[in-house]
Amino acid sequence: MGKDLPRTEIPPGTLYMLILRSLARLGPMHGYGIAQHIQQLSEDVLQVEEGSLYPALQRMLIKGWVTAEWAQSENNRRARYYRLTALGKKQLSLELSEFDRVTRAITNVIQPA
Amino acid sequence: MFLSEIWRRIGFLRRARQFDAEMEEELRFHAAMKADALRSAGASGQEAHYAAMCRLGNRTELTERSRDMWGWGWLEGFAHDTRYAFRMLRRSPAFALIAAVSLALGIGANTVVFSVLNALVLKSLPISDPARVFFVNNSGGPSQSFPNYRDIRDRNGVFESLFAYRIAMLSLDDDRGAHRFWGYLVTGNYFESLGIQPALGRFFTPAEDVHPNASPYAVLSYACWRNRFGGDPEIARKEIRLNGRPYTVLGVAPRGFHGTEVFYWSDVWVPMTMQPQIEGHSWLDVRGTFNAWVAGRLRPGVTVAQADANLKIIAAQLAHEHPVNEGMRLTLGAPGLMGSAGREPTRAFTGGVMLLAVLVLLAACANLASLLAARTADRGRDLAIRLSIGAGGGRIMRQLLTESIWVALLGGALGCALADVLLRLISQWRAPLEFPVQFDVTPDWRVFLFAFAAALATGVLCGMGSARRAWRADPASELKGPVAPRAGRRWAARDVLLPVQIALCCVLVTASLVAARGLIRSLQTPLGFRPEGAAVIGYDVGLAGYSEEKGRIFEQRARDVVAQLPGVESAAYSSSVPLSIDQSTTTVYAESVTDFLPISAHYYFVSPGYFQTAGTRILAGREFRPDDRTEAPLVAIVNQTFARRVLGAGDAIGRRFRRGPGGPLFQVVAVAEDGKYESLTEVPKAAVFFPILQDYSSTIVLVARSHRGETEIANEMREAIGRLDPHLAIFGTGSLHQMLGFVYLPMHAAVIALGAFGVLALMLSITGIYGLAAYTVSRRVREIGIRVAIGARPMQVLRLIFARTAWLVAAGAIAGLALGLAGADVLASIVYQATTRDPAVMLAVALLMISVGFTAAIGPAHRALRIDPVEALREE
Repeated sequence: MGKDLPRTEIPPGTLYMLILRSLARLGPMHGYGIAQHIQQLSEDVLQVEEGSLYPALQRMLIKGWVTAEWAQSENNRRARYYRLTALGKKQLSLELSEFDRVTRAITNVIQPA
Repeated sequence: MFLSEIWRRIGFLRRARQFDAEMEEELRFHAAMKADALRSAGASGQEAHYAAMCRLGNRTELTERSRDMWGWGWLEGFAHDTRYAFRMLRRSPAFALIAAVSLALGIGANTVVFSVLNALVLKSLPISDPARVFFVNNSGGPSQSFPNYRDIRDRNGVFESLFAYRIAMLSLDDDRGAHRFWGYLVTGNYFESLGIQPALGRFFTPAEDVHPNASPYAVLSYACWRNRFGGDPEIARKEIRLNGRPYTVLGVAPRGFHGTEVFYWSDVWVPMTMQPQIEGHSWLDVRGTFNAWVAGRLRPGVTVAQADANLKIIAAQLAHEHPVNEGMRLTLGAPGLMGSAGREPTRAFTGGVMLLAVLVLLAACANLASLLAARTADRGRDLAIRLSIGAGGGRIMRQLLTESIWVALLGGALGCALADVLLRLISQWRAPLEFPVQFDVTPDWRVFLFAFAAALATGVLCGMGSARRAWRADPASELKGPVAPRAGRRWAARDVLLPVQIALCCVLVTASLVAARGLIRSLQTPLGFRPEGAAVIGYDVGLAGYSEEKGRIFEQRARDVVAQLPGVESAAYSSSVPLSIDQSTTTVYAESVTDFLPISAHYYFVSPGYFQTAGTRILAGREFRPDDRTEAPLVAIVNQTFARRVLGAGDAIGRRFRRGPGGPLFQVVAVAEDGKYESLTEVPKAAVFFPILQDYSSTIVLVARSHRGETEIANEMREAIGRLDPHLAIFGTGSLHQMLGFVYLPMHAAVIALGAFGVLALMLSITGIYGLAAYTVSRRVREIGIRVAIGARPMQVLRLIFARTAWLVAAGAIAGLALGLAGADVLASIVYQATTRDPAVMLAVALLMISVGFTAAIGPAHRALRIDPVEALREE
């Protein structure tokens, strides 16, 4: 299963943030689109596993961060589109600031004196 | 938030099917998009499709994991596993049946025993806040004298209220004659202290405590009100006749309240102040007559330790003030079983039986576990396939556990149903006694919770072994084919389970044999009289309103009438017979002034001819004669223990002793053999017989000895006495053996319970041995075929197959016998004179186990010998 591709695991806990951010940027989007978007923007460093993506989307539906509806895709296939809710937006800014805080902390620790 | 999420999830449950379809479509879309991308990168159509599908991986698992996000995953997984488990069980009904039935028997036995334990020891009385109500033990016994009760009540600082009660025998008169009636004499604060509300009317109050014989009131039990008074809604204020005197009914006790003793179901409650009228002689002011039982409700916040400390001080005061109280100890105990005197043995008995019941369940568990292990091994291939196509080890384990848990729950439900039937029978059963003894052992929520917990634990315990094995299984080697038995040297869980099961079985069989031996021995215990051929009838002339003078005449006339019945060899009467429920003791003093220590002795008033009729041997001296009457010198007949303890060495006849301090002197005219007076287990006790003609008792047991059937004679006695006075309430007729039933009750219960356990254990070990032997044969068909083909003789084949099983069984049996020896103490609490160090029992157990082993091995051995080498080798 694609052992030749160098893949980087998405750091735990950040998948939700990446999906939320993608939806915020693209508007309503289907799962495949979200995965593609993350992969492209990360210049193929971050590969979203389907095995994590779809369970994560279900979890986010339960949390009420996104809603889903079936719609016609760009090439006329039926696809499930996920849309960010107000709650999702709030969650995104929460996760972003948290991520920012942690990254800054890590940078402070590892930067050369 | 939380609620809405639950709501969403419930909604989701209904849409589970739609969810799966949508997920499937979403993933198909994903794959299609992926394939499009690959195609535009230059792959061929087919190639792109496969690559995309491949990239997606295990779609079912993905769907399941997505669904798990909704949080009902385990539940749905469970439902799914359950469906699968039932499919598998349907496919092997023999296994399902054996497993469920053996567990049903194990769990059923446990449920019954637990229910009895629950009813007798755990359940509290149906009163308000029962945790604060305690019985006051007097030096380890239940009885207290009434003046002592009054002092304890008035001096203590720990009881909110302290009440006294006593079981009383009464007679109820109506237009159809006199009926025996059982009740309680209680102090006025009894109902108040218990905090219960009448179903009708009102209860006594302390106002009923004031003047002796001035409160002719009665409270009826619910059952009595329904059965005897037809549930008359106007019963309050009505008059009933008790012992020939009018009593006003005040009210009816609530349904389910039978009094403050668990076994004894009372018909009526009467104020304690009526005691002199009810019982004929008053002991309410006699400090040395210990006839009342005392219990009370602690003040809120008072601990048992505080109360005990307070009672200790009062006991010391009372012992100091009144010599009769010497050595008095007052301690708290749970109420319901005559205080600690009844509770401790009951707890030891039921606890011991419970322990053995748990062993039965463990044996059933071991049985099921080895069945399951064999089954898992047979399904090794199937499991290996499932493992290799991606089912997680955890998933398989869960699957196997679900199966064993369901088998256990099925068995548990079946066991519960069995137990329920049995318990209903026990609850309805009334001991064949003159006394209203009844056991309410109907199961309650505690019992069902226990059964459920037992079943669940059984399921997990049994399934664990095989599930763990599946978890560790190596699919590659399993798929290569049935593992060639490595000369049968590898130790599997089965090899441990069988000896464990056999050992448990041995312990149980030992226990049941010991119980049976104990019963036989106790039936052979010399009682000091011969109940065979003796018929009895009990009545109380006092209850029918006879004066002492008229009563005396009636008693003699009754004896004469009975003595003339055809077939009656001799007839006599006494105030009570040994080993019946009605026992009294008195203190006696030797005549010599040097020794003033009182000795307590059982006493009976008996008529001339009593010893001959009861079958008690007179060792020296003479029987009472008709001329031993009031005007003649006071005489007595004592037993051997009395003679030795009170009169010392030398010839007892002609010596004298006092009854009570400063009481009259009695001259010993005979020494009778020792006997049992209260229980079969007692150490020899002193007993003394006085001529009833020099004394008087209104309560009478009339005994007739005959070669004709006891029941027949008893019926004729009843008719004859009924002709003399139709208004006399008869307390009990039948054989003397029946009258002693209460004494043998624990023994019979033990033999029935332990016997049932023993039979269950034997059945379990037969199926266990059979299972392992049959399994061994089926796994080694090929090997046996080869061996037979190259000339193995039948004995060699059998040795090959069964040597190991035989060793396992032998090891288990030896361990079991050792355990049985070590557990003798537990058995001693259940069975009188129980000893496992009994060569007959050991031999019987050994023989039983050997025959069990052979019985179980016959089938598999037959099969092993019939194996045809040609067919066996063709099979693979």
